[in-house]
Amino acid sequence: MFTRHVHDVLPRYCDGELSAGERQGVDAHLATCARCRASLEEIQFSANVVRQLKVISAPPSVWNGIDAALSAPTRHRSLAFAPRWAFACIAVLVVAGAAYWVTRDMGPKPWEVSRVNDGGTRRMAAGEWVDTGGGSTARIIVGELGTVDVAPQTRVRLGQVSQSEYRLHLDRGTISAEINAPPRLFIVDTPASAVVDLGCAYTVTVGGDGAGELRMTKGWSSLEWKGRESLVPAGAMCRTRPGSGPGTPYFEDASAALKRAVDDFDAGTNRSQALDVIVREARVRDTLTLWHLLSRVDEPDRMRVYERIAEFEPPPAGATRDQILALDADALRRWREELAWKW
Amino acid sequence: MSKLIGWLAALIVAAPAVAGTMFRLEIGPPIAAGTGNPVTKQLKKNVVLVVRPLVCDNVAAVQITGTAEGLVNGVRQSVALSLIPVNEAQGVYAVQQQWSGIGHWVLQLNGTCPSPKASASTLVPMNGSTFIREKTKVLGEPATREQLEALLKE
Repeated sequence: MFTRHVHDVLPRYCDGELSAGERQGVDAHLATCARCRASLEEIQFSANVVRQLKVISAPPSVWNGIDAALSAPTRHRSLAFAPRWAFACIAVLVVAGAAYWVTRDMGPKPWEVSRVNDGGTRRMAAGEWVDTGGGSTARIIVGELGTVDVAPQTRVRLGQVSQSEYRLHLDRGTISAEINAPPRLFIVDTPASAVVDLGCAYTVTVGGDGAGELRMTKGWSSLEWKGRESLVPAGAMCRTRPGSGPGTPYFEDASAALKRAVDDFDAGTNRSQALDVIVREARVRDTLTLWHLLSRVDEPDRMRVYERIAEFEPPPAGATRDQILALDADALRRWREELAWKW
Repeated sequence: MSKLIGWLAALIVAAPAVAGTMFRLEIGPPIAAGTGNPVTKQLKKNVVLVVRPLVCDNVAAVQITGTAEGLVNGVRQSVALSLIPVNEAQGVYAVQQQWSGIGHWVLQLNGTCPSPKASASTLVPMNGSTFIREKTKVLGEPATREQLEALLKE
């Protein structure tokens, strides 16, 4: 599908009239075809220019001229009005040309992207791709919020920008974000989850199969997918898989056995045995992992996870054992906030 | 001799229990102040850690001060820390990075509990803007210069 050029469907693509399947095909083609990407840019630019033109009424003299032309004999009309029409056409071309030069840099291009190799910087619009497939690197300036460094072999689609949200779509590869913004203002979508910035610095990698991993270096973020959420503080990482969303976070300095067991648990491989290892290997700091497992293990296993966490830090006032085993959201939050002092 | 060994054994067993019941300053990552806390939301990523007093009758009255002690290119430096109140009722404060990004730094946090009267310190070695949990020293008394210098040289 769409192995040939897609010029013909680009106008409908821009207007959002393609089906999801067609759109996906166009996206795939655009990713590899610079010629079609250039066509897309031209169409987007033209659409922006047209949107900025004002609708004005023609002056009465124009209508009078048209009336006179229509009522005059054909032979005479063509000779008399030829210079005027030529002049009008030239005037329209001049105005259009001027509009082009005036508005060419004024379109809605909220993203600023610099190519590290050539040092060039350009404004880019939502929907455009940053592709470092040639082994180059790039830096995306996220308004005044911070920066996103794009590693080689990475594809990122620039998303919509509004006062309440900046969005990027990481298709594959690696980006490193350093964001200084109110929580939830900057979001990175991946095929398997959304990384919701809560004030932090992190690296996200997405593989060819859409699976990804988030590594936090400062602050904390959450990985979210269909109501499932994993909270990832600095020093921790979390994997995410298409179809199942965010996995269980763990600290990178946890034992190799614990990390392997968490991966097995999330993959559904020998979950009971994996849980045995996690409970046995957990240090006080690994209550991060255990706390997330409370709501992810089957009910019979919940008690042993609870007891292991309670050995390190019992629930605080206002959070009872029964509430926690019943997965009461407020009790779980209170306990997590107390446990976080050990993370 | 056996009596001495007995006393030593009792001391080793009792020490952790006593440590858990004495006045001290606990540190944690910014998330410990709560994901919904308006101050940490506002301070965003610049908070390197939060600190709170434990085992004091009135935690809101605990005075907490701090300095960043550095060794930069062989030269000792000391920077007074400005602590930001995050939850005054709980005595929770946030520490933002106020020291240079180069060199070796240890944060010295000091606290005084009015009742029961006690002083405590926590020494926090830093790796850039990340604290090193495993090397952090939570002390039930004011830190000595030797303890600080030893950590700086590690």
